[in-house]
Order: sequence, then structure tokens, then C-alpha cells
Amino acid sequence: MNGSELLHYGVYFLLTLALSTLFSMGGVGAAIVLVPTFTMMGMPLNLAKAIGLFINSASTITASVMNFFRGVLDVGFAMPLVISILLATPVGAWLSQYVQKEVVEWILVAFLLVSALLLIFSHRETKVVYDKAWILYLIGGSVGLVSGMIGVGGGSLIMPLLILLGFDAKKAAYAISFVIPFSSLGGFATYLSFVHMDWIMLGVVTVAAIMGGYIGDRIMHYNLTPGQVKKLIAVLLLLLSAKMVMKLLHINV
Amino acid sequence: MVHIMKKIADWIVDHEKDDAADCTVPDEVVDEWLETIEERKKRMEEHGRTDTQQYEMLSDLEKKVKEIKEIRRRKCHLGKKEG
Repeated sequence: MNGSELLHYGVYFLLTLALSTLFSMGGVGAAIVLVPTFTMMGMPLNLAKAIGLFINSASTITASVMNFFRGVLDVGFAMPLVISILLATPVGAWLSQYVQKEVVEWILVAFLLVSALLLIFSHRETKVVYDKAWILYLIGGSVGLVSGMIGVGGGSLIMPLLILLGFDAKKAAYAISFVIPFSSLGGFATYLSFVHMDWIMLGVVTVAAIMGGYIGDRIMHYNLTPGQVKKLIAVLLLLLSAKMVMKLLHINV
Repeated sequence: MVHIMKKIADWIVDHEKDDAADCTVPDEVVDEWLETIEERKKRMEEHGRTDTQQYEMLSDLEKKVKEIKEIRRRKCHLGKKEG
């Protein structure tokens, strides 16, 4: 490997490390920002999507393993979300041919903005209120349908829903980082069937994502209170909605 | 399998004791950690799963987090009262 190749992979490594750390602190995957960033840096879109999905899985699996061993990840609580998302995402992808994608995306932008503002301005006591399995199946099913339809990660949609329903922000983040690998790895396998994979790049960014998942999770667990996690998630949602509005209005930066 | 996982859990928590015992970490963080473990244990008790290895693992973790709280109480809060 020559100097320019080292620099090339080094830049991707640092970018992935920084963004995976930030997003792991909020319990969601970083693919949503990494895919457009990689594309802007010249990576083919489908390759960027495939690598982004794998990165999502790598950083969230790391965080989930840590959380499991700390006793804070309740696999039983997260299972209804996993099952319903796995069932609903392919249905959403199938439905996408009958629904105008732009309309769904504008509804999603409104949802993300309202959620972010409620997370910033509401001072509601965050105690688990609706923790029945049926509501988790309903949330997972609805999120799976929408994320399958428009191709966005499920984590950023489930997170505000769970928090607005009264779930503690950190507990929601622990559960969601367990759900994401299931929804992302299926998508990665699909892309792998038709994308020419750059395996060195995949290896480099995966190491960065695992490190980012570990660092972000430790910061969240020991240095942030649930209130601070809520605010961090709100900021991530605002960034995400800004990115979607720019895409919908065809604004390129 | 659970026995191996219990060993890893012990190792991770021991390894992270220094982080948790750091006085700049808010009390809320450690309280919430303990609360989550207690909630999970309570749910397992309600479902009659107290004789499982997973319950045992959670009980050990609960003890360790209580130890961390005790270390913090001596190290951080005693110092505050004296000061």
C-alpha cells in the first residue's frame, strides 16, 4: 500500500470513527450521515450504502455487547421490536412502488422536526409507561414499513417514538442499538449480491466503527444523563431532517 | 455458555470500575444503572425465573454496582462534606 492509499483509507477511518462515536452516544447507527459523506468523497452510491449498513451493524453490535454484559440491555424487551421490524421492512420496500416517495419523506421530515422539538422543550418525567409487548410490535411494524418504503435506518425513527411514549432515553438507546444490526445486516447482504465490494475499505471502516461504538457507548453510559442523551438525540434528528429537506429541495452543498 | 458470559461481565465491570468511580460522573448515571438492573431482576422474579444463571449474573452485577456506589460515597461525597 503506497502513501496516497494510506492517506485515502486514513481519512475514511477517521471520519467513520468520529461519526460512529457521535451516533453511538445516541444509540443509533451513523449510516444516515456516512452514506452521503462517502458519496460526496467519490465513493459509488451503492457501495457507500452497503458499507454504511455494515458500519451501522458493527458499531451497534459493539455497543450492544457492552450493554448486555453491564446488565442494562434487556433482550426480551427488544425482541418484539426486532421481530416486527424484520417482518415489516420487506413489506414497506414492496409498498414503495405504490406510494409517492416524496410525500412519505415530507411526512417523515415533519415527524422528525416535531419529535426533536418535543425532546428539547418537554420536561416530562421519563418513566416507562407503555411497556406492553403489543405497543412495541406496533412501533416496530410501523417503523419497519416506513423505513422499508423510503430506505432510512429504523433507529432514528424508533428512538423519538419510544421517548415520546415515556421510555427512558438511555433504555431506549440500549434497546435500539440491539435492533439495528438485525435490520441493517439483511440490507447489507442484499447489496453484497450486486455491489463490487472494496474489502480493504470495509475492513478499515469496520475497525473504526467498532472503536466508535465502544467509545460512544462508554461516553453515553458513564458521562451522560438520560436528559443529556435526549438532547443529543434531538440534535441528531434536527441534522437528519435538515439533510432530508435539502435532498427534497434538490439543494447540493 | 452463561458461565463464560458471566466471566466476561465480571471482567468488563471490574475494568470499568475506575470510570464509574470517577467523581466527575454524575450520581444519576450510577443510580440509573443500578435501577435498570433491579428492574430486570424484578421482572424475572415476577416470571419465576430466579433459578436461572442469567438471574445469578444480574445479582452479581447488582452487587458490583452497589460496591461502586459505596466507593463513590466514600471517595466523592465524604470529601464534599469535609470541604
